[in-house]
Amino acid sequence: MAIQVDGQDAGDGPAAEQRDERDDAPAGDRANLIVTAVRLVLLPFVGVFTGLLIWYLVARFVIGDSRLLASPLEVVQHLQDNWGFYYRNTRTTAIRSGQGLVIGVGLAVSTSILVAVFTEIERLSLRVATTVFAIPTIALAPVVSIIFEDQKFVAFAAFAVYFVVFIALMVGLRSVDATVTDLIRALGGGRLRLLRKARIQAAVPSFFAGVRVAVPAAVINVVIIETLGAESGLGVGIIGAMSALDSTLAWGVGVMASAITLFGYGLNALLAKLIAPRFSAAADTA
Amino acid sequence: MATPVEAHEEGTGPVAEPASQPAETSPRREEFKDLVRRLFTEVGLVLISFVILVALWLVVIRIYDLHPFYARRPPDVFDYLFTDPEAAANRTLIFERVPATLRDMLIGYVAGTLVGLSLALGFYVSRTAKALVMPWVLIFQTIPILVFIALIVIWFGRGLLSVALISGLITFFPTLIYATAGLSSASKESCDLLRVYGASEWTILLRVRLIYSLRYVTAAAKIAVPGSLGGALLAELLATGEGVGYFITSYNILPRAYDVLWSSVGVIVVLASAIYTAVTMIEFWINGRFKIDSSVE
Repeated sequence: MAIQVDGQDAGDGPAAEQRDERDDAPAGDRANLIVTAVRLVLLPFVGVFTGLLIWYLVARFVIGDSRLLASPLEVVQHLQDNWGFYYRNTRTTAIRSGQGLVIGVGLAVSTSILVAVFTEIERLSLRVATTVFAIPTIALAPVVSIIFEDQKFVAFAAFAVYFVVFIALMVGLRSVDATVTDLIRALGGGRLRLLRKARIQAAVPSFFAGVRVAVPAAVINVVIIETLGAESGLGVGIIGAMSALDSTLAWGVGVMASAITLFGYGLNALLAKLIAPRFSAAADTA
Repeated sequence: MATPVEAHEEGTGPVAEPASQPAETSPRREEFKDLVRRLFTEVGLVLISFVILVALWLVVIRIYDLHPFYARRPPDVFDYLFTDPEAAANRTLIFERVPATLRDMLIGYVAGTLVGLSLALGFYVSRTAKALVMPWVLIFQTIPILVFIALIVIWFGRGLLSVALISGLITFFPTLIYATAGLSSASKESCDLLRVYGASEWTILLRVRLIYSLRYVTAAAKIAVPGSLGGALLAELLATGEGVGYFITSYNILPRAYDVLWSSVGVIVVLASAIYTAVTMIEFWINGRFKIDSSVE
C-alpha cells in the first residue's frame, strides 16, 4: 500500500526554515488556495477544539474522578473559585520573570556588542557560552540561592535568559554576508563601521528569535526556584499540587503560567514589528 | 597532534618499504586524523571554559563576600573529594549516584528522540495531521515542564516510567523541530534519482530523507541531550530521589552538607561538559561518515 506523500517533488535547499516545499503551489490556483486556507486556519482550530473535546470526554466519562483528571470546565471553575490565590501568585511569578528577562537581555546585548568589537574573542566566547549553556540550570539553582538570597528568582531567570539571547545575538552578528563585509572593508571601513552598518542589522531578526525563546525560559526558571523554596509564586502552587495529588490545581497553575508566557510572546512580537523595520531601512544610508 | 600518526607511518616498519608510499594517506587515516584534531580542539575549548568558570566562581565568592559556612571554593571541593582523610567515602557518596543519573538521562533522550522522530515522520506524511496536532504541541510548549512533572507524578507515581516521561518531554520538542526541517532538506537530485528507478515515495522517505535528517537530529542532540540531563535531574529531585539530582535539595540533611552540595554541583558541571563534548564529537563523526555536505550522493 503506497503512502501518498501528496505527490509533489522533493525540495532541496537549506532547511533552517521548516517550510514545506510541497506548499509552493503555483499561485492563482483557486482550489489550491482554498486547500491551503483550510489547512492553515481551519484545521488548527478543529484540532484544538477536538483536543478539548477528547479531554472533556475522557475526564468526565472514562476517569470520572476530578482529583485525578479534571475536565477543562472544572479547571476553569477552579480558577474562578480560587482567583485570589491564582492572581497573587501569577503576579509574583510574572514580575520576577519580567525583571529577569529585562536584566538578561540587557546584559546579553551589552556583552555581545563588546565581544563583536573585539572580534578576536568572538569565536571563543560563543563556544564558552554554548558550553556553559549545556550545563543544566537546575544544578546551579542551590548555588544561586546561596549567593543571591532574596534576589535569587530574578537572578536565575536572568542567567538563563542571558545565555539564550547572547548565543542568538552572536550567531546573528556573525551572519553578515561576506560580500557586504568585503564592500565595507573596501570602502575603508573598520570594525566599528562594519558593526554599525551591517552586523547590528543582521543581528536584529536573530535577536527577536532569541528573546522569543527566552520568554518561556525565564518563566520556567523562576518557577523552578520557587519550587525549591519560596513563600509565593506559581512554583509554590506546583509543590502544593504534587503533595496533595491535586491535578486540578496543577492544570490551573499550568494555564496561568502559559498565560504569562503567551503575554511575553505577544509583547516580543509587537516589539519586533515596531523595531525591526527601522533597522532594515538603515541599509540605504551612505 | 597529527605528527605522531605521520611519524609512525614513515617510521621503520618490519618491512622497510621503499618510498613508494607518497605523502597521501588513505581516507580512513585522514578521517581519523581529522577526528583526533577535532577532539583536541573540543577538549581545549572545554578546558578554557572551565578555567573561566572557575575564575568566575572565585570572583563571585569574593564579591558577594560569601560566608565560608555556605560557600566552597574549587580547592575546597578538590580537598573534599581527593585529599581529605575521608575522601574515598566522600567520593563514593557522590559518584555512586552518577550511574543512576546517566541511566535516567539516556532513557529520556531515547524516548524523546523516538517520539520526536515518529511525530516528524507522521507530520511529513500527513500534513492534515500536522495541522491538527501541532497547535497542541505549541500550547504545551508554553506550559512550564514543572506542571507536567507534577501531573506525571500524580498519575504515574515515582518510578522509571515517570523519569522517562519527564526527561522525554524535554527532549522531544527540539528533535521534532529539527527532524521536520531535516526531512524536507533532502537533495532533489537524490530523490529524483530514486524516482527514476521506480522507487515509491515511501522508499524515498526511508532511504533518502531519513539519512538527510540525520544531520539535523545530531544538531538537535546538542540541545536535546543536555536537556535530557536537566530533565533527569529534575525528575530525580522532585520524583524519584535517586541519582545525583537528589543532593540538590536534600544536601542539608547530610553531614558536611555544603561540601556535598558544592561537590555535587561540580560533578554535574563536569559531567554535563563531558557529555556535550561527546555529542559534538559524535555529530562531527556522523557528518564525516555520511559525507552529507557533498552535493552528489
